[in-house]
Amino acid sequence: MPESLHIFQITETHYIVLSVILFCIGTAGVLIRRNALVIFLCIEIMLNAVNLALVTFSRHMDQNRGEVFVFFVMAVAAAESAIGLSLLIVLHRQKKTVDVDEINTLKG
Amino acid sequence: MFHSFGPILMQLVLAIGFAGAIVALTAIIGPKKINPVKMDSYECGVDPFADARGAFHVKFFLVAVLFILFDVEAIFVIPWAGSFLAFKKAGLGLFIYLEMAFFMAILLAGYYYILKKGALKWE
Amino acid sequence: MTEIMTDTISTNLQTIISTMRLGLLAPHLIVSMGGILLMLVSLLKKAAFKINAFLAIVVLGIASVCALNTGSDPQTGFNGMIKSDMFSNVFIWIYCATGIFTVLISHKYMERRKINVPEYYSLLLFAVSGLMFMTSASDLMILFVGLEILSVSLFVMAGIDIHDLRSTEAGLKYFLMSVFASAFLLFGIAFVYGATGSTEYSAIKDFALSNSFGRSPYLYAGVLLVLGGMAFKISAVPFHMWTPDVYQGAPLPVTAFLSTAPKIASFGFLFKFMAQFQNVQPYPDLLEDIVISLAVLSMIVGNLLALNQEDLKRMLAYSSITHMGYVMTAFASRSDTAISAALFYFAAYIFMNIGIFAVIAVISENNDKNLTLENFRGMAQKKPAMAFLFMIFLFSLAGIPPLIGFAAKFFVFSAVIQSGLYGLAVIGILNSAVSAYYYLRVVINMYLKAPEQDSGFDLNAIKYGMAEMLAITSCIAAIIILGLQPTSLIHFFEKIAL
Repeated sequence: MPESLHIFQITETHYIVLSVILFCIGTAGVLIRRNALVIFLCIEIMLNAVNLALVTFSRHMDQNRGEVFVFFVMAVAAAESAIGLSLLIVLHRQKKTVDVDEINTLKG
Repeated sequence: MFHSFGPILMQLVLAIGFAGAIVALTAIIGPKKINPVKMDSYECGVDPFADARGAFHVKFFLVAVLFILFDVEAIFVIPWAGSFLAFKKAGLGLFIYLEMAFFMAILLAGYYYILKKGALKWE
Repeated sequence: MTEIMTDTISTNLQTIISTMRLGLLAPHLIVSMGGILLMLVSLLKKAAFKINAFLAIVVLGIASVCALNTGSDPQTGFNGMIKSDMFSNVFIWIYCATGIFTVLISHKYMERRKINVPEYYSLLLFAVSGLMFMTSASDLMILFVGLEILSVSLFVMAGIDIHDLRSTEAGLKYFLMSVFASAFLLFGIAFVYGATGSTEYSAIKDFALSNSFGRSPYLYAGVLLVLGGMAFKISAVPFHMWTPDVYQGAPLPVTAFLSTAPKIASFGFLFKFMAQFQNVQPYPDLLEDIVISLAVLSMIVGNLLALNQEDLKRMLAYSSITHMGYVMTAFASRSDTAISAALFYFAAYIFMNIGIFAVIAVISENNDKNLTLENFRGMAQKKPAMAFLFMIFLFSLAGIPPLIGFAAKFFVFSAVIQSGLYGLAVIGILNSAVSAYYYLRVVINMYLKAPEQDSGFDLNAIKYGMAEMLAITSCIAAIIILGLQPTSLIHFFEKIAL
């Protein structure tokens, strides 16, 4: 490879940094957005950031433990999304909104 | 271990730049003669009658969610299939077969449950 | 060359398979298979709710007996993913007891409220199996799967009353917060894995012992994130925001379960996981400080928020935050007696909390409103027996001798003092004195205030069911007997090491 292209060399650190950035985007989304569905999407971004980190570490160490872990995370995320979307639909039937600021029946 | 993506990035920039330039050029210098026949749907095309992004009925939701659940279980089948031969060589063929049979039995118990509950009925 | 490679793979596979000892997982498998069985029984139209309640108790009973089978010697299995020892067995018994108590107080309550869905018991069993996996795990992968089996079941249980907006809201809030916390936990696990190259506890321990914490920022960040994710589940301040809302909105028996077993399991995992770093020299100061501040904040903030709380369920939510703060002090002390003190506290907490929720379930069965402290005015005149039982539970939660709550606090604070953290112990004892105020406020309302007219709350309508009385009386018996004779139980727990 030509020496001038060396800055394009992608190392595992780049993947970890990307994963941290994605995780932070997800976290910020959960904290800022008020639509429960969007919050849930942001949580999915966080989970996928974790998956990226796991796969990167796994590849870096030349094992497959992290990759197997990713399978479990994906399966669990699917189960969670099924439950979460069902709860959202039940809520929407009763309240006609998925805005978390308007979901405030419980107060002390 | 991680390959260099430099050339790919370069090609990406060239491709997007070239395609973008062509599209921009035709839009700017190309002749624009519009007549009703030209703007019609092509041959047997049908005029759109509703917004394609309309909401689906909620009864499809349950089917979609159940589909996701069973679909994702496939990720456990693929590593199993990948390592099946290694197990068979080690003389553990029956064991690994029964493992998957057990897994499938649990899934089928869930499938039987949703079938009996009528979750897959469309009407 | 390839021949040799296949041979090594074959021997590796055979050794891995030989570590698959299903006996170690007997309670877990019985409970999860029981959950599937109950799910299929739910398809029966008639009486499935009753049959399932009975079957759930049977399954949990069998599982707790099976835990005896594995014996007290530590045994690892499943290629190092499961470690079964006396520690995990004690937790299995705690979970089974909590599950059985929950079934006992659920049945009549759910029927009265018309939420008698038979799948409820199936979900309860799945939740219990998740709890068991959490504490038997000696690998972060199994921990995560167990935690999510638990959480997914709990989301549905909290939101099971689909006609009550409060329940749905509680379910959704619990879902969002819990998944958010899980993401942090997972990110922590990913970092721990990246640093150590394994998710197995023993491999993490070896890595931490040979490399100091400070030289591995990934491990440091990972352990902190895992701690943060778990603090969410324990609802330690400042990660407690979801607790009062979820407790208030969820159906009462679910709240009883939610406030006990999952928190205990999270602590069980923390004790087991952080014990791997026990001998790391030097032990990271930051880690110690964070755990201590979680404990102090939980005790103080939980108490302050409970002080002027009018809603009974919310008050108990804040009180549970405080109680978990007390356990957190034992966890922070890292002394030799911390584990036995914490185990004793868990046992005590189960009896106190399930008992008090059982009483509230009986009281609030026929009243759709949220219970406020005012509703208890003059209860001693109308229902003297019920008021007396309620008072004993409140006294025990407040830590008044000779009840079990006092013994539990005594052991926890002596573990803290043993490790030389006198300031922490003083803060704990002061908080326990402050907490007596809001528990005794209920007692004063019951005994010294005149009954309220037209509160829309009919104390005379209260009727006990057999199952609920069984739960309440066994909790009362345990509170009094273990309160008077705590030595045998604490001696039994002292033999348990990690």
